[in-house]
Amino acid sequence: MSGFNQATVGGLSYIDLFIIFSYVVGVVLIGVYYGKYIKSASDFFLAGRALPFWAIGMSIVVSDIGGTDFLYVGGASYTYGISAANFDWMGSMPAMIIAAFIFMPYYWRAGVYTVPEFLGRRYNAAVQVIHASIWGSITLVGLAIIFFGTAKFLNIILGWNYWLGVSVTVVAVGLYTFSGGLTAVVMTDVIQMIIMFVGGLSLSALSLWEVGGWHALKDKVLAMGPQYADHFTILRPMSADNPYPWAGIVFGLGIVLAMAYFSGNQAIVQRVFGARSEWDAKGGMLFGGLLKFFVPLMVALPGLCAVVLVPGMEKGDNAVPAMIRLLLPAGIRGLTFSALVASFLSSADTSLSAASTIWTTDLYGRLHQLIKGRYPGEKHNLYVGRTFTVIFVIGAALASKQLEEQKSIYNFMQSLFSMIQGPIFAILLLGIMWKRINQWGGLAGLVLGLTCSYVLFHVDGLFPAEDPFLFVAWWSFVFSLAVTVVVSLLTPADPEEKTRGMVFGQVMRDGKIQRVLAQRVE
Amino acid sequence: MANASNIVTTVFGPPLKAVLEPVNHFLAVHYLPWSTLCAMALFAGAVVWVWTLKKEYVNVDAPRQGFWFDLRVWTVLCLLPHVVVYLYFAKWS
Repeated sequence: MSGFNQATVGGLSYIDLFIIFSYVVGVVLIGVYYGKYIKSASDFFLAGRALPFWAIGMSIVVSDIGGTDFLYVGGASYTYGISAANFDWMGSMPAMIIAAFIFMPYYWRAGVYTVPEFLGRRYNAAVQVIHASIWGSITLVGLAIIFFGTAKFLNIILGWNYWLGVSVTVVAVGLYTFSGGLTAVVMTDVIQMIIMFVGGLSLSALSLWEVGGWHALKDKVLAMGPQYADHFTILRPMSADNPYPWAGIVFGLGIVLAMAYFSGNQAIVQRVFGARSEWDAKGGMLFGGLLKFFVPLMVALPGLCAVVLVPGMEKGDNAVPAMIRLLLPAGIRGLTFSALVASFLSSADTSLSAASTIWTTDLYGRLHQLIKGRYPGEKHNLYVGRTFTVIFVIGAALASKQLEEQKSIYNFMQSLFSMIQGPIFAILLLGIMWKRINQWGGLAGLVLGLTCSYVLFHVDGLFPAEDPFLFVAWWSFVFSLAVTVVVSLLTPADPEEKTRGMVFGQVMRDGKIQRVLAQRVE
Repeated sequence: MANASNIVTTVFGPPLKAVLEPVNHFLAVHYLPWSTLCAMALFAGAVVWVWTLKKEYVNVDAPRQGFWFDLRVWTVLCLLPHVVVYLYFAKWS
C-alpha cells in the first residue's frame, strides 16, 4: 500500500493517478452511453428538449468555469485580492435574472436552435450570418485555447509531452460529444460539477484551516504591507495600476459582458434551449446563478490563502497548483486534480458542441437554403453536425500549438470577447424590447459597433486601466444602442408580420400571439 | 498593422479623449460610496423588476403551484448571498 502512495511525476501518488484516469474513462463511457438516445438533430443539439432545471443550472456553471479560471482567477486573487471574485459575483446573478425572464422565454417560445437564428428572424440574414461567423470562429479559437491549456496542465502534473496531452483530450471530448451530443455534454457536466465542487471546496477548507481561519487570514494578509491594503475590497478605485476598476466592473462587466454572455452566448444558451419546459429553462438559469456564488469560494479563496502560505511567488497563476501540492493528502489531491481536468473537459465539450451547432444551423443551413431553396432535413443536419464535430476537434487541436506565441492567452480571449459582446448585446436587447427597431438599424448597430470596439482598443490612453476590455465593452454597447436606434428611426419600419411575436410586450400581454408562437414551436 | 493602429489613434484619439476624459474623472472622484451603491442598485433593481412581472408569466409551466415553486422567491434567495458579500466587502469611506 505504501508503494501505491509513492510520489510519481508532478508529486502525484499512484492513487492520485488512478483517480484521475478512472475519472476520465468514466466520463467518456457515460458520455458514449447517451449516444443510444440520439435519433435526430433535435436530440443531438437540444437533448430532445428534456433537460430538468438542476441539470441545466449545473451544466451552465461547469461550462462557465474553465480550468483557466481555476488557474487565472486563483492567480488574480493572489495578486489583486477579492476583487477577482467580481467575475463570478457581479458577473452572474443580475445577468442571469435578465436572461431568465427576458431572453430565455423568447428563445424558448420562438423555438430556435441558436441565437443567430433568432437574430435572423428578428433582423435579416446578414445579421444572422455576421453574428454566426463571429461566434462560430471565436468559439473555435476558444476550443484551441482550451486544448492548449489542458496540454500544458497535463504536462505539469503528468509530465506528458504537448501532443500526447492534446491527443488524449481530443479523443475523450470528441468521442462523447460526437456520440452523445448535448445530452452527453450536460450529463457529464453534472458529474464534473460535483467533482469540481468537492475538490475545490476541500482545497478552500484546508487552506483556511492552515491559515488559522478567516479573521487570521485577513489580519495576516493586511499586515504584509501597503500593497495588500485593498486585498479585501471588492470594488476598487479607478487607477491605471488596477485591472478591475469599480466602474468597469459595475457597468462593463455587470451590465454588458455578463448579460451578453448569459443571454447571447450559444454555449450557455444551448443548455436552456434543451429544457423540458419554460419553467425549467428559467429555473435552470437561477439555480446556476446560486451555484456561481460558490465559485469564488473554491477558486479565489485558495488564491488569497496562498498570499500567506506561499508568499513571494513571481506568477500568481501558479498559486492554486502550489496550494494543491502543499495541502492536500494523496487521494484528495487526485480528486482535486480531477476537478481541474473536469473543468478543462467541460469547457472543451461546451465549445465543441456550440461551434458545431452554429456552423451547422446558421452557416451551412443558410448556404444550403441559398443553393437548394430549403433548409436541410433532420437526418442531414445530424450528419453535418457530427462531421463538423470531428473537423473542429482535429482542427482546433492542430491550431492550438500556435497559441504559444501569445504572451497572455487569458487577456487575448478577454479582449476578443469584449470587442464583440457590446454590439451584439445592444442589438439583441433592442430587438426584443422595441418593435420599432428594424433590420437596417440592427445591421448598422452590429457593424458600426464592432468598428467602434476596434477603435477603442487601438487608441492608447483612453481609459484608466492597462487592459481596457471592461470599458471597451461598455462604450461599444452604448454606441451600438445609439446607432441602432438612430438608423431604425431614419428608415421605414419592418412590416407588422415580421415583428409579430418577437417583442417582449407582445409575448407578455397578447394571448393570440402566444397561441401562434406555441403552434410554431410545435 | 502598426500603421493602421497609428491612423486610428491620430484620427479618433483627440475626439474620443475629449469625450471620455471628463467621464473617467467623474467616476474616479465618485468612487466612495457610489461604487457600492451602484452595485446594490443593480442587485435590488433586478429583484424589484422580477416582482413587477406577472406571476403567471414568471411561473408558466411550473410543475406545482406554491411558495417553493415560485421563481420570484428563487430570485430573492439566489441573489441574497451576493448582496451579503458586497455589503461585507464594501468600502464606504
